[in-house]
Amino acid sequence: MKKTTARLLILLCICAAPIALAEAQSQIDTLTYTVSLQDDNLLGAFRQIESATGIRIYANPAQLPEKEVDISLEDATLPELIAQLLEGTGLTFQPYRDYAIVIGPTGRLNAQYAASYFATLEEAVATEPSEAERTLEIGSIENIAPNGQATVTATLIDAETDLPIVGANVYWPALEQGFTTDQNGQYTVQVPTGRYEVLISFVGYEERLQQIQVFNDGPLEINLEPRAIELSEVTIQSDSPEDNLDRTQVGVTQVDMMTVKRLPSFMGETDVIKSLLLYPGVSTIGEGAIGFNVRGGEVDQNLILQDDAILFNPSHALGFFSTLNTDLVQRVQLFKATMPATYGGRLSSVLDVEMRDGNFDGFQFKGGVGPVTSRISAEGPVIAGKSSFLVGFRSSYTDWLLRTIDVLTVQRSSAFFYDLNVRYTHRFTENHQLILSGYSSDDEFTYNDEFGFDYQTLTGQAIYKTFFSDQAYNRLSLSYSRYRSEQTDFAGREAATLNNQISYTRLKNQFTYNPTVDLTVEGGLASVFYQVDPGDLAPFGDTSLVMSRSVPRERALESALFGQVTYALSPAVEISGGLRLVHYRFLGPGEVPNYENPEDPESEEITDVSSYASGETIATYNSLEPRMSVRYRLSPNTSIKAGYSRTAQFINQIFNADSPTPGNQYQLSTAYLEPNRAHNASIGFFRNFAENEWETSVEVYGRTIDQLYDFKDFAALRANNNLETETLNGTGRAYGVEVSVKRNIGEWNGFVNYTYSRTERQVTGINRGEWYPSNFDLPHNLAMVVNFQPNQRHTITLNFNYHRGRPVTAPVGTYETLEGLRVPLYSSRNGLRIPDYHRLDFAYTIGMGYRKDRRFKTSWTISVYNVYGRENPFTVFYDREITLPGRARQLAILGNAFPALTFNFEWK
Amino acid sequence: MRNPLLFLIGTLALLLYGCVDTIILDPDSDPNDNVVINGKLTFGEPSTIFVQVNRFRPVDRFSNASPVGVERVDLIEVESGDSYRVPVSTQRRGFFGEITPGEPTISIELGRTYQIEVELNEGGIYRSIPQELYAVPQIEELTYTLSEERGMSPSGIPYQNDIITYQVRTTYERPDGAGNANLLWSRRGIFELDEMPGDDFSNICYLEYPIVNARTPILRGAEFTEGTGQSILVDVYRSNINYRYADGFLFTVFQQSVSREVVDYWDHVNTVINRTGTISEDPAGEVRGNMFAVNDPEEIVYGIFYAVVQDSASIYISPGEVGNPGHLCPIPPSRDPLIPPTPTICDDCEDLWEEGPVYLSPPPGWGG
Repeated sequence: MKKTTARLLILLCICAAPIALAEAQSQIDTLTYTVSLQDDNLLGAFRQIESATGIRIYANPAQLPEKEVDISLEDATLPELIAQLLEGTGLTFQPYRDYAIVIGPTGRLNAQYAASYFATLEEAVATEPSEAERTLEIGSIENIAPNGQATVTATLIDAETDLPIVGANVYWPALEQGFTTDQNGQYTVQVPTGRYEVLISFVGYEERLQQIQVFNDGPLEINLEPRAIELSEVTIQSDSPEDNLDRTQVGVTQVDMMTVKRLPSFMGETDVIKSLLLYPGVSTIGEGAIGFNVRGGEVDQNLILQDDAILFNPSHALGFFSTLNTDLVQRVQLFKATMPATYGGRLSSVLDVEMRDGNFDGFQFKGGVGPVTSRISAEGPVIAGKSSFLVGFRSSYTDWLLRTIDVLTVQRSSAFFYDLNVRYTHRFTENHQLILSGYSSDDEFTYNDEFGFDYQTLTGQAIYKTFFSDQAYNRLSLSYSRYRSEQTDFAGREAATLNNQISYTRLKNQFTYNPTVDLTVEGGLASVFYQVDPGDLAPFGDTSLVMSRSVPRERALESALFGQVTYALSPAVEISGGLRLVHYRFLGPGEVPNYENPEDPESEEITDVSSYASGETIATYNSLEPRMSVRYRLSPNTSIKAGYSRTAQFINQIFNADSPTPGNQYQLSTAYLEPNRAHNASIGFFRNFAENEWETSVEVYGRTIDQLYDFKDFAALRANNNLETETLNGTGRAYGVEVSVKRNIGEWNGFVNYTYSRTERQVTGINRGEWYPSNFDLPHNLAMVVNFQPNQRHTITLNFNYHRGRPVTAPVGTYETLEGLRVPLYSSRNGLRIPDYHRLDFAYTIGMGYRKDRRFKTSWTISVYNVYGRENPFTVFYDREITLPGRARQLAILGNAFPALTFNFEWK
Repeated sequence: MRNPLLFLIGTLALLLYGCVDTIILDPDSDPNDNVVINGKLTFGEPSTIFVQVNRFRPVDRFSNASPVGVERVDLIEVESGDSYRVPVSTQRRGFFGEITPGEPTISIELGRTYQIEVELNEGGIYRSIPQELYAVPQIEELTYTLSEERGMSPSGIPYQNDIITYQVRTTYERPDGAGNANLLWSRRGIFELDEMPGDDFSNICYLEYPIVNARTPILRGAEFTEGTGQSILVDVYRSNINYRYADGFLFTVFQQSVSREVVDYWDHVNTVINRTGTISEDPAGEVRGNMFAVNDPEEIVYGIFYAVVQDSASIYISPGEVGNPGHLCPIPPSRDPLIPPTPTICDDCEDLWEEGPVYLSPPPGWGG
């Protein structure tokens, strides 16, 4: 047999050493190789040879003996190489045609299996391999890029719906680089020509190790199958294995929706916001508190986006549930510190919730029934393949249950909420897409016919996406949102209704350009027009003596120009720098009082009033906000990151309590109430172990707020037209360490997150000007989630939470009036702490069936919230024994275990 | 489960009622030792001045941190600088004086402003911010209503009470036409005590006591439209109907015209006393009053001095009007024979005489 003169040089070593491919021929026994091959076992060695030569090697792993491979050969044919590997193993091999080698026991291979075995083998090899098994080619062998470099633009597509998969993670081990697909399901990478393995993963889809042969520039389309059985759920990760190492931004949390759905939840209602509390740096001061706190920030310092619409109140039922319907959520990202320049307007964080499109190819229904809430969603094509709709509805039904309880105060109480999501997506062409969506929710709560809240959110938005090329993309959005609340005291001479409302219209355009794989340029404009009705107080009923008063409507325009550049200096180093320039104008019409001392305005010291016409500027503020992130890969499994951002906030929710109520008003920055401004900085160390099975991280952060305000003692905030007379200006600081350990896969998986954090304020006029803890100062916070999956369909989850008690202001002494009334004297503001909070939850999930052909599937979740009935304090108060010494008491709202059974279904 | 509804209701009930426990909160610093000065000038014939000087008291103790010795207490008329040395009153545990119209050292008149000055033995001098005597609108009517209250205690125990609510009908405009008044109401009650009900030899006396509860009624004139001449009905006292009504009850209310800062003070007192500590509640503040240290402006002084012009009204409530409630005594005997019988005398008029105003014959207004 004539040997070819061509030579193939393969240098194979463990850990994916570089492979140089000189030339390939199809004849197994005519090619020669220079080989340096090490591996722990034979099977691994065979896989390396397959990968380098394209020759398939069939071997039964059970027949392969334990053998460590370490050989070097020069000018050897493949049969010579295989023979060398099998030496002393009792195995032999048989080349099959020009593309396969079969390995089997010596002496039996030909004798016993020759005819039928090779017939089957031929059939198997002749069968068209699946996309996952094939090597996908970009370009062609006849047109290999002369410079040895190629740009690959890959698109990930849902194989069932034909929709692009946004946010999927793609990892190229040979490049030690990971990518996340954009809004079009695309990413671009520039690579040397050659053969690669690419690892693709995303929640809800098969994990794929895809072979790719790159000859030249070109597109690459990869179709991922949605997971058919829960087996996949065990191993699939939401992030690529090294996403935590690769991502440039520090302080970013991508919420795994599968984890969210498995977590034990209060009354069985899956809750994105509550699950956020398990992540480091995110906390709440107690059950029943609205919203969440990020790194010690206030509730209203979080920008909560549902697509492009801002949610002002993400809570139902006074904070026990969130407004996000998890069945409709595509992706949730929380930026805790260094938010990209595209975001702005809040000091602490951005929670970006992306809702998903409806199914373009078939109709589908999902739903769930719990003890106090139910939900249902429907989706499907309007025009097959071109447009789809998605409708989701959720409602509580506690009202009728309350009426069955034989206690008058409970019967006179009510609690009800609903939310409705509607979405329509239309693809005009491959490059033009329109999304129309809307959201509406309503909450009504009354207690004993004494007081009540009624609050509604309404949003609508239109998003138009244009894909100019594989490298250029534009997103234009117009959104409107309105939040309206009504708080009513029903009885007595003080019976009154307080209404307030905030609405805004936002126009935003963002352009993204990827000229090369190493460079991303983003930029755009955003403009928000706010209209706020801070308070309208009116008497309620005939017996009320309350005097009507109303704070005039306020208007403001917040415009921003932003740009961000992300550049990979090398595979190890990536930097991202951005700038956001914000121009804010507080607009007329309006009457602005002038004070004798504008630095310390008092309502009794108004000298005169300045009038402003409609549209006239009353006050202007500018904010230049740099954003910077850098990532450095110290090694394949270690990286460090650092980030800085400047943020400003022009709208606040006015509340003087630990947690806002739904009825608290919003207040724009005015001539006297300046915007809040903060510097945020953080640095993180990230290291993965055991081939990314374990992820660990340590992040240190600091924040200074150089302009904030707090309220005077006994501040009158309701419908106050001169709110500046009730505020005091000051500064703030927050700092802490977040430690995270996570196991991604395995029968036992989960995570432990610990946060040490402090958040403090210094305000002239409070605590004699000394630093004092803010309401959200929770120094120690521990969250632990353990999942146990004894098999693929059953999951047991334990969730443990602990945090230090929150600061409170409580009585430390009394003095007597002339009549003998004891007046309590309170500690310095937030000078005491309530007892620590801890809670253990349990959930057992029986997942949906394996059979992909079944159209109707069900799952059950049995959960117990607060398993050991910890009486965590919700309220701390003193006995009202007005002539005797007092005793501190705590009220635990959820002082018992709460079991729940939830039924979920899906039909398609 | 045979009755899933029961399960759900039980779950919700637990949700709503929660649990209450006593806890210990350690203060961030030791209790201070601040001086507390309270004073009240009441316009009339005679006018009275009453001042008490105490110290801050830790929340869980009966006694003050330390005693305080007072060198002098003066009432000063601000415009003229005239002053009146207030004498010590051991019975009232403070300083009390009656000032007749002919008092040579000071004159108490409507529209004038007054302040007090206190000097301690240790040298500290404290003074109040001046207070004006404002004319008070007259009480048009004092009435009451009866109701029933059912509810749930914080610990989840249902209760049912019979309630009496006293109401004052009044205008809120000052009689001198100078705008709306700021009003404060103080209240007193007198009830009959039978030492041994049913015993012919039992003593009967009438006990008078100041009514002090968690909400001192106030009215802030600025919250109402001026010039309407409208009368309003104000709840001035709300109470359970208890043993004090068993043999009759005389309720007296004093409607007092005060300054805005005094109304603010009592509003703050109401706020801190009724604060429940929920996370949605405004934080408590420090109720300081209008006293300050002359020598050291940084020194924190608690308490308030205020000057009032008042009108009063009384109403007698007979037992039959409120359903003949039971007596305090005798306490029902135990069914356990091993427990000794309860005492038939549960209070002593002679002892009570030493503690406060007690009448051995029906006071004026008793019996309607």
